[in-house]
Amino acid sequence: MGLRRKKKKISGRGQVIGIACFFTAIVFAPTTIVLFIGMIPTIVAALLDRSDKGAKALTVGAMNLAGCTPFLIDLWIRSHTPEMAIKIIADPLTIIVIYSAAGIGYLISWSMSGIVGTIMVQRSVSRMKDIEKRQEALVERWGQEVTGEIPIDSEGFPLETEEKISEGDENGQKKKK
Amino acid sequence: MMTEHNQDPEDLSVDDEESAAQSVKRSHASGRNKLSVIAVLDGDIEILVEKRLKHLDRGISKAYSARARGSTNETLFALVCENHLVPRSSLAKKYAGIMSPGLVSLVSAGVVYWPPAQGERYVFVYRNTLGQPLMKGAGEDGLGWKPEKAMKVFIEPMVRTLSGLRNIEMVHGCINPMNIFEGGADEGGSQVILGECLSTPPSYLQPKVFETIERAQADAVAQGRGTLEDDIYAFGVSLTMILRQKNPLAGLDDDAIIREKIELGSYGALTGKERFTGAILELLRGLLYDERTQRWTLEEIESWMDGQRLSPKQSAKKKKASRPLVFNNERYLRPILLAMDLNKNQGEVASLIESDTLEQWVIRSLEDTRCKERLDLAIEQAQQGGRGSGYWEQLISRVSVALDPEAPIRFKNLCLHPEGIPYALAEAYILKRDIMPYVEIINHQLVMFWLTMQQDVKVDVGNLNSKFDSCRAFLRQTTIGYGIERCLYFLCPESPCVSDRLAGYYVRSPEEMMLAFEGISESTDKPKLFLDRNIAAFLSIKDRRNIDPFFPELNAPEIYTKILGNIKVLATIQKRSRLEPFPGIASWIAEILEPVYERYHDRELRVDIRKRIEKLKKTGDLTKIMTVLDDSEERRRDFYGFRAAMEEYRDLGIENTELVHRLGKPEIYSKETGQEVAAVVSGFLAAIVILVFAFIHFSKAGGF
Repeated sequence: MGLRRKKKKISGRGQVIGIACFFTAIVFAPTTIVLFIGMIPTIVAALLDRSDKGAKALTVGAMNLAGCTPFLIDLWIRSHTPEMAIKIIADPLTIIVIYSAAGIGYLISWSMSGIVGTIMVQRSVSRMKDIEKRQEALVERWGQEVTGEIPIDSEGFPLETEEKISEGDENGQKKKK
Repeated sequence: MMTEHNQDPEDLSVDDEESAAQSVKRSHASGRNKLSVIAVLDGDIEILVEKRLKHLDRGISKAYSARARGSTNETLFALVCENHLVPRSSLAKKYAGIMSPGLVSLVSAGVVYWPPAQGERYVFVYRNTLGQPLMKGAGEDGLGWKPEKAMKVFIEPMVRTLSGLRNIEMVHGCINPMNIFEGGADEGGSQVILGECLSTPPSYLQPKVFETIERAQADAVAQGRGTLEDDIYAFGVSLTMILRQKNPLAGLDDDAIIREKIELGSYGALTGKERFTGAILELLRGLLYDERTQRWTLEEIESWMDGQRLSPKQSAKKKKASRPLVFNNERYLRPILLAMDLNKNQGEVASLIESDTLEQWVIRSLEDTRCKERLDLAIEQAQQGGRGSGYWEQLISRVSVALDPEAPIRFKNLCLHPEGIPYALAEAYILKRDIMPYVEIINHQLVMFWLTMQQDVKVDVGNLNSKFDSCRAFLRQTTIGYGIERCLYFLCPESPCVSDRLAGYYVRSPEEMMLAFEGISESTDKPKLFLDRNIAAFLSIKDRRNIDPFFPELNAPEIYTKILGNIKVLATIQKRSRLEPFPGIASWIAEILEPVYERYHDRELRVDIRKRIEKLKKTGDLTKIMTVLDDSEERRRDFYGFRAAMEEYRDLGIENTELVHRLGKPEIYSKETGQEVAAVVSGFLAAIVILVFAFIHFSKAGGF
């Protein structure tokens, strides 16, 4: 259902690009063969990555593509034919190199998540302290009423401290306690 | 200097609006030394506190020796007024203008710090040319002078003095032998000198025997200014006492004297069995007519002195009923006596009116249709307000006026001539007596009723009517600046401000009030605010532009608004009157500003404003202080700053909540942010790798 829904969301422009890609893939079939076999780890990562942004697939894909690059160049220079493409991709060394690069992508994804997570937690804690300090400074400068936690009048002053004076009070200084 | 004062009354500082403030400045400048034995008036007259002149005392106003500053000759005497009796200060300038050797000369008048009272007092300073008074008391027997001597020593100078008073339209109000003195050494003792009349309310010290029947019934403080005819009557009584040998009224109290006069007529009551003959009899009869319209005028006296003989007028007898009315176990034949006694038994008055007994007596026994009409009007008007609280008191008051329209207004225990109400109200207020009767008199429109009852009245009806009508309007408003306090200053402009906050000061103008506050600022137990109901009403009456624009602030319930209102009023007076700096008041203001500072949100701004005020208070410039406190642009900035701070606080709170939420699930960071960073790093590395491969390959192929 989810996939169907996603398919439905593909815009007209996307459909045009998709068709263009499809015909490009047919026209450049040798390159397509190398990339299709070589980019399998990326496809797997994309299928497993549940995040909206597909960051993990991007990480793996980038390194995976880098692993494919020397072989694609070799294909384009020597002979851009399906036979050549199959020959290159059938070479175990090619697969090892390409999949190792994809593995490095996985490694980067795993390691950066840990490092960044730790840094971000520390930064958040620090930010919370800053927020607390700033709020305290605001209360100190503008009073407790700035918190919005106590009822205030239209001019922003606490209602409960509105002092009303009686004629009797006016006759003498209030004694300081 | 003294002569100068006599020759040029313009030198008088009293009631000279322009010099009023300067006068008090000098008074304040002279210091408030409690131990001083000399009080200095206007910087040029010294009053010797320890040198009493008892024979010149005027009742409660004590006399002291005085001299021009720098002089050793004590040729002056000062009368120190008591604060609860409002002196006739507004007449001082007029009085000083009388060029009559038969009247004690006023040298100066004003406010001094009076060390024995440890407060300010109003004083009048006169030339001390007075010998002993002709008589010690009104109850004494007569002097038994021969008519010839009386003519030369008493009548002629007194008529000249009365002419002087008439020329300036002033009523003395205190002509009696106790206030008429033998000429001093300077005058050779050849003629008498009339004493002063300014140190108390009109006729306050006049013994009742010297008053006409109508005026004698009023309370001493509430007799009003009277008329020249009243002075002529007092002159006649004085002359009678000087001429007669015995006092037929000896031993009688004031009430009994009035009744004797009603029964026998003034001449008969005052002369008793003594018989006068010739021209002097004519004069005495002319002066002592009880009917004011019959009494001799000054012109007629002068004609008599010129030798003309005037035809005797028919004396109008007081109305008398054919049958008595029994009231309070007494039999009354005269409505005037009944009117005097109505207050003695309120319950019986009620039954007299309810049963129409009083009306029937007026119609059948008194046969006075006018009195009947007055009585009907009195009852009708009293009933208009319904029979609620105070009905019987006002009904009795109105009936009393209806029976004797010329008598003063009687209400509860008061007996007031409408013109005397201001002085009586001032006295009651200062002595903290019950002022509710005065409120009721105004609210029940008893003065208006009294005025409508008069047939031949010598008071300014329109003025009185409009004044008391305005007072009714003042009483309807309960806010600061109105109420009975405003009535007091409106009716009695001579009254000083009687606020407790100005205790010890005699304040007659806004400028003097500022100087008083400057003095009070040094006290440790000064009040929190400057203006109370009394001062507000006083200022509004003296000059409404000083205070009326700030009534909304002064009436506000919030203390900070009240404080700002107070400061605005003081700053306005200082600016409008171009007064000197008031560092004391400024410091006082700085002490009470805490609630005003609290109306700024920004604590830093509070500190800043406080610093600015602390700096400005030394200058004593209240306008500048007000400018700092009343800066609307600064308040607007403060408000918007506060609003921005509130929003920032709220945003920070939201951010904090998000962070707390995220920290509760740290994997969010590793999964989302970490993988995003990893994608960037990976992309960057991949790009390098691809570029490197491409470069190497194309280099080998000889492409570059």
